[in-house]
Amino acid sequence: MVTGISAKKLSDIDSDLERGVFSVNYKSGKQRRRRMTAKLLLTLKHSLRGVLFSWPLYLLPFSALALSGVYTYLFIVFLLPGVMISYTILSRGVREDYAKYVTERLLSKGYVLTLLLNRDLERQFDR
Amino acid sequence: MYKPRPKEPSYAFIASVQHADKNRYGHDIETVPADSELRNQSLNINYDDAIGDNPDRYKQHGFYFNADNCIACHACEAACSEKNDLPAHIAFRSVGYLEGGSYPAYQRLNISMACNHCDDPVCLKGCPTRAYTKFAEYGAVLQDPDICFGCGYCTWVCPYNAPQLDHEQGHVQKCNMCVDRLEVGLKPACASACLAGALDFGVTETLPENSHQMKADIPGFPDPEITHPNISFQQTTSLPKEMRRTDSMPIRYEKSQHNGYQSKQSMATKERHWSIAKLSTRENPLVVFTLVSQLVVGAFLILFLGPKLGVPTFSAQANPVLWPLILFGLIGIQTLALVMSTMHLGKPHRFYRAFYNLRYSPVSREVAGIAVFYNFLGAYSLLSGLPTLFTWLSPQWYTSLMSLTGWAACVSGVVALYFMYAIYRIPARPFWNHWSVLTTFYGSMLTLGSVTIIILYVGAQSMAAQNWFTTVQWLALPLTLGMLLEAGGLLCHARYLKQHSGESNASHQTQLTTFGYTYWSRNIILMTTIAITPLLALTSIDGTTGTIFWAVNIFAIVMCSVIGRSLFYALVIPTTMPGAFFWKNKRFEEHARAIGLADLPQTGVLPDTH
Repeated sequence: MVTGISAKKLSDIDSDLERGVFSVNYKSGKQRRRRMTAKLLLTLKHSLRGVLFSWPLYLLPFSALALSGVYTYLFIVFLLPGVMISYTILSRGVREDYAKYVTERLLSKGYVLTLLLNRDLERQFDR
Repeated sequence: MYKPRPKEPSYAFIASVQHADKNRYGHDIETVPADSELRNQSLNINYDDAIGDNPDRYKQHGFYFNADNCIACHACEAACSEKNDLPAHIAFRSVGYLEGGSYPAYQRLNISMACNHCDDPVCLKGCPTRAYTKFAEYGAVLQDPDICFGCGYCTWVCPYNAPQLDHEQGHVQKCNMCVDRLEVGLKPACASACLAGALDFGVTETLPENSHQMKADIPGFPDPEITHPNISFQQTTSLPKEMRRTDSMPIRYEKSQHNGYQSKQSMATKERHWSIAKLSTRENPLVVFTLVSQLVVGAFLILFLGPKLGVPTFSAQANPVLWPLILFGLIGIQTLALVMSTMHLGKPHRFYRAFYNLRYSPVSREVAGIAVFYNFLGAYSLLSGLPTLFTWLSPQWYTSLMSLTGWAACVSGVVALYFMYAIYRIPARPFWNHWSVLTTFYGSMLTLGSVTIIILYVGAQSMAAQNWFTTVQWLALPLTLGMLLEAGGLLCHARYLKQHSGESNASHQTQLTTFGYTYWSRNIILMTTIAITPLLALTSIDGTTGTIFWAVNIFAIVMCSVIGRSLFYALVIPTTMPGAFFWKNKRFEEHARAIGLADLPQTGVLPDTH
């Protein structure tokens, strides 16, 4: 399937022996570290993507500082819900990608690139 | 690979028969040339790399529906639901009814319909995420719910109700042609389950056994020219001159001399109502998003172009406090609108996929246009609103950069609104498929943009005890122009709807009856404000009287825009397939919700709370 990420999830495996081998591998320190790195990378990737699309939103506190007075509160009114929703979207995105590409999968060499440029994973049926 | 049952009956297998080289639309039935690299690839169904041995793997397949034989037993629906493990509120295939005549000469036509895996799949072109693919294998149009973000645009553009938006899951799903069964030569589950020999499947343009007709059309079937569907029909039984739908759609089908059955409107009443509650639809976030985006683009155009056209009132130098306040305020409300439209998606966290189909999808282009505008607006606001941050730039560079970002924001804003209009040019939704949508959108841009600047400037100037009348006089021009543009478009649209039959005419009748009072009130208010605005600007009424007059006028203009946009979404009647009495029937759904039946999972009506 794709470089660096096992095609089969633990739940896809029928054979007991294969499940056992998979579990031992999955619980190893190396795999845990890779999962942790994957989580960090996914958070970074989704945050950067979010900022790329919504950076003008984060200008609002600057403008509030520049304008001062009553306008500060006005911008906080716009900024707070925007930031909260951005956080919701970000966390959902990270959780979904983590569940899809990391949970119950073995990560091998090359998984970082696959996670960062995951278009081939998403579009495996497109030709 | 799919495992056929040990004693699979012969009728469950696709018959191998001779066929023409081209289909009725002039396209090759062979989906790819013999030497194409797309051949001999695995469909990778459930991670299985095996390649099916169906000899017709690279030929366009399609359904065949013999309406003479269908007894509406719904076995096809049940087989499909079981095969695809569908919840009660989703059906990839559904059986709808048309009825005509009167007792004892009553007749009913049953139509079983799923995705037609069209030659020109509008769902594929419309999808912003590229969740759809037309495969070389069997010509199947498949959709990947893992890519979809649940905008539902494919459900707008498809005339056959094929894509199903699952509000519970937040994504769209549709018929997958049972490609796993096709790989081993079996027909899809629905066609295999048909008891009466009505539904069949095979290479397109081939006749099943015991059938002799290959029609492209049937009463109740939308115009095949929209998508070039791969389905053929037999319908030889003589039907009454007029056929009615059993669902609540105000459409009937009338036999014409030359073109078979044509859809006509069938409003039961001519009584007028307000129906204010019905103005609120699932598309409310789009009402806000479209209006606010037009407002922000309009307001920015006035602010940026005003001083260049010789209106010094709007320059940054004349308003050192108000200028950045308005610019950052525009960013704030545009953000709010973007957030609303994003949260309106089934899966908001996949928002970035909206840019994946810039080549074909108007949704992708609109989102990209708005994003570019938003970014340039941010850059321009930063440069012009907070000049102290850019003292390190040479004055020449600073001025050039500001001018560049300003012009780029103007152009991208106007282009984004054009793409916003392109989204609604949908042949399957005739009420929207008219140029007046463009005049309405650009009209709102001028009107709401002017209104925003009036409110902010007049407020600030009143607080500073300055005369605000000159500001209002300047802005009366774009304000009136915007309203005239909108009114002109609406007038031509109403004429167009009146002259056309079918769904567009039904939408017009709905706006004259169900929303009759609301529609006419909006029109009267629009015409009145068009007359009053220049009058107020010319008659020099200022002070408290002027403030009151302008406040009422502006309130009326804003209300007019909100009602107009809500009507735009509430009135559209799509060219859908006929539904059944208990299925895909809006009125039955309302009834089921009212009596609590919708809360039972087995009824197939998704509870409103989801």
